[in-house]
Amino acid sequence: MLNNSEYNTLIKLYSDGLYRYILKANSNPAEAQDIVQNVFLQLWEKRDQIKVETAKSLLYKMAYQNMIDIYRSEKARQQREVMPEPESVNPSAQYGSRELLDQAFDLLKPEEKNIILLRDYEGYTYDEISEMLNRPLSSIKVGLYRARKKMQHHLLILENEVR
Amino acid sequence: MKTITIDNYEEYIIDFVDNTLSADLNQEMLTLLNLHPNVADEVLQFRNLKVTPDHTITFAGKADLMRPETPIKTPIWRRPLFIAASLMMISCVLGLCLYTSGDIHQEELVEVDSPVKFKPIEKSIEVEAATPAENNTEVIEAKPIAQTESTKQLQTKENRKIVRTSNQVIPAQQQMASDIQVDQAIADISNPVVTVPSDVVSQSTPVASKEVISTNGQIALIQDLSRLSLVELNSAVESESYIANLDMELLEMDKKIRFYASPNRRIISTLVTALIPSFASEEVLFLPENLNDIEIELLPTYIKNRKVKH
Repeated sequence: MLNNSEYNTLIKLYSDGLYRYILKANSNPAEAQDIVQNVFLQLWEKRDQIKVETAKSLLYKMAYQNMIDIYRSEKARQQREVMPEPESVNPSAQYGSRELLDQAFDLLKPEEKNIILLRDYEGYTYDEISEMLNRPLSSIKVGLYRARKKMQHHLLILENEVR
Repeated sequence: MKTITIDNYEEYIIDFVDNTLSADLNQEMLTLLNLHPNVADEVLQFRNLKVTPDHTITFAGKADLMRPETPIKTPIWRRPLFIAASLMMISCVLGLCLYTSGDIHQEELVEVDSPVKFKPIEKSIEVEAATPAENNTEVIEAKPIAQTESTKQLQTKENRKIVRTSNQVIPAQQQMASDIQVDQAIADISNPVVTVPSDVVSQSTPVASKEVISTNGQIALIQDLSRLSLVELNSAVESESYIANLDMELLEMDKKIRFYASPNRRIISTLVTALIPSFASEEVLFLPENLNDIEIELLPTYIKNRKVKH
């Protein structure tokens, strides 16, 4: 069970990383902020059933679920509306490999982004990611490989466009 | 043991990039990459493809999420104020108990010069068992307060007007004048009669002496003390040295008077008769053996926490 002090400590420790993780995944600061707040509120509501040791993974799990929910609702809304022409990435406006890498990352699906972020951003092991996402370990490894492969593919395209 | 092939290499390629494969599997992977150069190119390309966080980005809404941290509360029983209050309360209760008990045991009746004197009966009362009413003499049938063996005996004897004692039954018809005289002689020695001086009488209603009561086979004159004031009555009782132990306590709530362990039943009878004129004297007179505690209804509030000296 979390008390107020422990809950506040979790906010201090993990809110920044969680915000970066969500922001990286959805590229929307306002939405990322809302999700972080929502996730911590959910954590507070479940504080009676939560141990401090497992709180971090639970935070990321809830954040990912929030993102997926938003992504699905947004996708459904877009399908109902007349889809505007997607903004084409203008590589010439970007500078450096990092920016290109970010753009390539943004082109991934949420599930692909999530695995890469959990591994690269937060440093979770494959076992931990497997547990958080309720997927087999081999599935996580293959998924991560394919996400990187896809990201590499997007990056090559972007670099070719820049040139 | 699993073997790495072109169909399942994706499962191992991550561990190969992270350099966490076992030696055997690592060798198999190298063999596979040699056989499939396109796979080797992929691995080489994304080996450094890693997303890194920007630590300059922070979450701005922390303060809104924070919960007020309540200070650690000391249990109430460990707080100094509670301990002090508890000690004070305990001392107050103890003090009150001591004061109350001391008040009861230390209360002494104020010694006063008794205007009432006890003296032996100077003349006997003639009693004729056959015709007690004609001689202004009452022979009282026993009505026991409590069921005792003696009272049961009394109740089994029918149609007997008896003079009752605690351990013997004397049929009234058989009580001859000689017996009465013997009883009277004993009564002369042991039973007092309360007389009231004229000055006391002038302050209170004169005492009428009219009842003759038999008990323990004795005959005694019991004066009607109902008009005596309580002080006068107490003084009368106190003046007798053989009244060793007589407590009177009024329980105000149920208005009962309680007598404790008097060695002289006659005095108790007298007092009760005096205090409770309307009370049937025969009930009072029948005192069980080993009398320690009798409760008698008392209508007015005569006595309150009085204690006669021991």
